[in-house]
Amino acid sequence: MSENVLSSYITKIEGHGRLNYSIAEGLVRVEIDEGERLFEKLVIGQSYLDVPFITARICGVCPTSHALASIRAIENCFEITPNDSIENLRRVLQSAQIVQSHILHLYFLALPDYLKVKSGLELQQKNPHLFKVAIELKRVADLVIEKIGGRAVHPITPSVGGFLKRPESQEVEKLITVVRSAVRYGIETVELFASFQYPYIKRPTEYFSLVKNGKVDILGDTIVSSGGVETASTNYPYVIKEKVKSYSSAKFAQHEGHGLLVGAIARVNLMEKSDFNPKTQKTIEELGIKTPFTNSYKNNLAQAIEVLNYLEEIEASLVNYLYGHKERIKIPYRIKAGTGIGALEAPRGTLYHTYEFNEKGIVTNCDIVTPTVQNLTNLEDDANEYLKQNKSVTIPRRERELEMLVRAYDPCITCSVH
Amino acid sequence: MKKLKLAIFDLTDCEGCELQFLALREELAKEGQDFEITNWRLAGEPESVGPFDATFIEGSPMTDHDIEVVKQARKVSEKIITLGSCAAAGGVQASLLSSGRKKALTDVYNEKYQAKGRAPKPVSYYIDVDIHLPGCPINPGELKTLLSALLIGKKFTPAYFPVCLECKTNETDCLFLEEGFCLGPVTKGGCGAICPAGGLRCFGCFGPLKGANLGALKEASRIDPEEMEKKLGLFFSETDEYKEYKIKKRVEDK
Repeated sequence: MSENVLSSYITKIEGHGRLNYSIAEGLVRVEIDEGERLFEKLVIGQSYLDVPFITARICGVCPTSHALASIRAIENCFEITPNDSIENLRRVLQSAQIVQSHILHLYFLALPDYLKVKSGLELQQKNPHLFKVAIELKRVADLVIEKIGGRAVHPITPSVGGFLKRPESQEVEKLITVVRSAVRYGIETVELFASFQYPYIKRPTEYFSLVKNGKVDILGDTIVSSGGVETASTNYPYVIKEKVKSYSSAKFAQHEGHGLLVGAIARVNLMEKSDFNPKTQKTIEELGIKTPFTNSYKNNLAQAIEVLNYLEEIEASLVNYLYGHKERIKIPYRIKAGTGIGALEAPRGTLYHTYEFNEKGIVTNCDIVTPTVQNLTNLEDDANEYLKQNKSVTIPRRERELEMLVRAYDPCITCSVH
Repeated sequence: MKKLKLAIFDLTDCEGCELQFLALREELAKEGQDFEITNWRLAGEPESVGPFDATFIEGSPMTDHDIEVVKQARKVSEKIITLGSCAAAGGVQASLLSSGRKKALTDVYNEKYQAKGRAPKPVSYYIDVDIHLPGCPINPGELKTLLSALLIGKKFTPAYFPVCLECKTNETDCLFLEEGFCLGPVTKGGCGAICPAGGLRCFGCFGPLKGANLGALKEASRIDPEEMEKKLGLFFSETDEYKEYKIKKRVEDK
């Protein structure tokens, strides 16, 4: 059936990619075939006000991240400083985005590999409880984004200078209850993914994440790495270089000539135990999970830990918003010509947006660097290392485990070819 | 009742519409296994390459593979349903006119780079389409209605009224009057007018109402004409209404 045009790409990943490898040469290539939509060019000439709406369309899995990254870039250019109320609500949205995306990936795309079922659909019949956990967590994350952001996919209310609409306090109160009761499913998720045997691969890797005041922060302002990088996020063009490959419509990024890794595994690895929220900390301890992870397959376990950690983060930020000093949700500003850079931690890692505006606020230039682009070099290197370390493994198993590696990375090809 | 065999194919796009199936999955399961999705790359290994009772196509055909998929899908499907504005009208990526594509590719990649995709077109440019479910993203409520219609063999009628009607029903303040521009008056409803309800002007993601006069809307708007031009082109550029507007504009400009 693999000959048929209706079934020719790696399944259960976001977007269209193939692994092409020759066993004889021991060389794996990650081939990305997605069509070029050219978002960096199609926003040119558009008003800054419409940019977050347009860039959200880069990805249906993490649209909130793209919208917020462009808002942060525009605010950076116009010198707007969001107040605590706005930051709290953005933190709620971005945390919910991470949960939403990780749940989709863990339960519907990655889990079939570990439970040896063909699809998430089959899970429904074979393990109705797990299916219920997955659906409930997805429902809660969707609900949070819908109530605060206006819609579960492609948010409506986040805007330059804050939010177009303030969420009703009653709604926020209800959300707190809903999220609180979903935390136990978050714990179950960590337990589940901690119970799996992961294929093995070990290779020295440099992990990158945004931090604020020295701690991993999804709305951080500084880039740090396990290799000692520490610089303002606005310096990303000096830290991360993109390369064009003929076999891929996604670029491959490098740091000082080698691959890097961003996303759940990088964030978890760069966190101290005390940086996790209380229940996450307790669960990690009780299950005896040892971090930092050195096996890229364990990105799935890192994602499960983040599901719980960011559920707690949603709850805390909603409480901070509701019971903290309420400031205005929409702050006035003036358009300024110039360049703005916005970065944040998207589900798959650090996302960077840069725009140049003229005095009317019209985009004259744009650059977007997505997490998957930053991870592709490392993914290819890991795949090659896997082949080297697993020469005696049977071919079908090798193929399966290489596909699992791609899936463990949770590449968003849609984002990577923007 | 016989079980309907469905397929979902995603072309070049953001995959946001097909995720709406996931949101509905629990409800679909409750409905008593009336549907069977036998080919959906995002969810698992395909069980079948046809025939299908209904095939949902999301995204705009851009790569050679995309185009082969839509042609093959047509051959093995009773009904073809497009999901979202990318499949119906090329999506936001169609707003970058094909004439500007070559330079854009060189700027983003380099001179040597061989593009994998060509200019985005609606699915209907390549094959006959039976039903369009518009939106960016689609409205899950409309998807539910459509699935029920398929199941009982009833005709699905998409909304034929403008977004404005839904704004009035929601009692949302008119953003056209307040801010001097909104695409609501010329855009198909069915979305529930949730953008204006959230304080955001309509961008036209459900596509233009049949026969909508875009030029008249532009005249009534109080924003910079060049900016208005950009807004009209965002979701409409591959539609008949937009092409008609462009022809009229060219004649008038002369």
